[in-house]
Amino acid sequence: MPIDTNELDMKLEEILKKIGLDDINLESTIEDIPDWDSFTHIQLIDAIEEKFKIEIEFNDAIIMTSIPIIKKKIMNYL
Amino acid sequence: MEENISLIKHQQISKKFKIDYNNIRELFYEKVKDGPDDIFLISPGENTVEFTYAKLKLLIKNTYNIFRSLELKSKDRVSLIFHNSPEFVALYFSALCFGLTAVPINPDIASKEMRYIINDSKSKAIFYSNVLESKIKNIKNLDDVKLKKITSINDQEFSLKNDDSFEENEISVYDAAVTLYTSGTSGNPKGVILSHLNLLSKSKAISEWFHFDTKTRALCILPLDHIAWQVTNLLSPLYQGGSTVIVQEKVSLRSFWDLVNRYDVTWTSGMASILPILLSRSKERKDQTLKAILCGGQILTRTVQKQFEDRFKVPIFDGYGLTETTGFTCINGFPAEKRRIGSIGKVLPANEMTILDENSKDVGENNVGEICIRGYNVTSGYLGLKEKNKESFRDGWFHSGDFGWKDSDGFFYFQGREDFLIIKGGMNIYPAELENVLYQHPDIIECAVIGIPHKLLGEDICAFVKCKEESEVSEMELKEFCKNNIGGFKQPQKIVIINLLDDLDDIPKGPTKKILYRDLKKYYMEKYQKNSKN
Repeated sequence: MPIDTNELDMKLEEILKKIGLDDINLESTIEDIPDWDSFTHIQLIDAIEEKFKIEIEFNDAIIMTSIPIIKKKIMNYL
Repeated sequence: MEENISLIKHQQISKKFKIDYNNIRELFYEKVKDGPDDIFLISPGENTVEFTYAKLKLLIKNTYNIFRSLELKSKDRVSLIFHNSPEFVALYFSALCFGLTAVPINPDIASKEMRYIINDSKSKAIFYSNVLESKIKNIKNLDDVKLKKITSINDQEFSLKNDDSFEENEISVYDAAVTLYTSGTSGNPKGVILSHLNLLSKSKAISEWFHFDTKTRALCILPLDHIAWQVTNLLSPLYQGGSTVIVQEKVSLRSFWDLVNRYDVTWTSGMASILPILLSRSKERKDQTLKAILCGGQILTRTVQKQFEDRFKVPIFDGYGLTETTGFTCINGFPAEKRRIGSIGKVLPANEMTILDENSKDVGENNVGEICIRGYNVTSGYLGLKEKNKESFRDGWFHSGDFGWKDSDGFFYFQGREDFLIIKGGMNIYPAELENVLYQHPDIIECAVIGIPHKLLGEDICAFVKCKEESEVSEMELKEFCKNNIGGFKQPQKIVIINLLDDLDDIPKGPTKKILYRDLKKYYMEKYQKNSKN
């Protein structure tokens, strides 16, 4: 079901907080955030799948390396 | 390789081991001749990049133009700051083939740490990924160095044809191919010089150990700024004409089995910590190609190994090595029936290994002593550190600082380290690195950093700090201070403020005021770890 960008941002912020990426903003990239490591990336993608009830393809998971890309990809699945 | 090469003492071995090439360029060009259209590299992504051997050669030659435009000359050092990417691979091989020394730098360390490495290595140029631009701009007070931002391998400058009349630089087998920085006991990292001989000998040894051939396809899931993964995932497949799949290291683990399946991966290597992570996920293996996983850098627990092998039916091979030995020096027997579980394996053909006591005498079988190594893969020494070189390379051996023992069948076993090095997820961190940062905080009088158990990373970091009496600084504020001053993986998981404890007044010290790290660790284990699940 499509959602608006505000709702997407809100849900994403909840996820980021839950997995401990507190310092992140909606422009952040994997390169800017030292805490965004391979373990956190697993948690992040899993949490997105759970929250939005979607199944992310592996070729998307490997390029979801910034919040703007993540948002764009989530929108594609909804 | 030239006959009658003269090796320094700790590179000489009594057994025969033939190196087939004089440098990495010779090896690479030979493989281009053997299979120009064979794939060497796949980098999956939005726009998946594939290099055949011939295409990479063309890119290498074209990259020479960039080197010449920056007035780089043979033997100059150049820093490479990239996450795993086709751009890194192209620049890495271009540098080695041109005769430069590549200094790959972990892009996740702090700008200050990058500055130290760039200045200490006297790098003439820094090549960096455009996604790291803000970090690179924060590197202050660089010595005379040229900056070159690289956006994509598809940029026009990589397609500008090289002038064929340009003569290739001469490269000797002894010339430095890479200089890699590893943690130092004093707090500053040490530059380990690795020659073409080091790289060639180790990549040959590993590729033969695992019976690599042209069909071998490695998956590189760990950072290529680390020598172990450069050798196992790039150079060893290259040695036998195989190929490699590389992915940005931070995103690779989640898609591990998909990558193996999609690209018919036959072999991979990594930290033992990847195994419990893959076990914790519900994803099952679908491929029928993966034959082996080589693990190192951490102790591989038997329970995890058994669970992994029972579930995924892929044998795990434990190994041991250091940056100074161009990565692995011993690996458990291949194929799987030859392994001795719990051992770090047998010595690779390019080097010898022994266990010595404090007087450099062989302790014999089943006795614990220092693990010492000599061979073609051992570095000629640390860059500009005469005293450290004297201490580490003596009596014809490289003294690792690690302790272990060997059995009567030639299998080695790892016991531990003498100098409190913390190995967190395969990254080496000396306590002094973080202690030096903490001492810069105005409230801290004294501190000591120890490794604490972590179920996935092997170890994590805990700092004990003693603050000024009037200080009201919190653990969170101190963690924030660390975040701004040291790389991500060196951040402490826990900071214990001694002033707030009622059962510890001071950091424990011996009669010479030397910090008793063992006592501190014992205190931590008894107080915090008893009921912890970590």
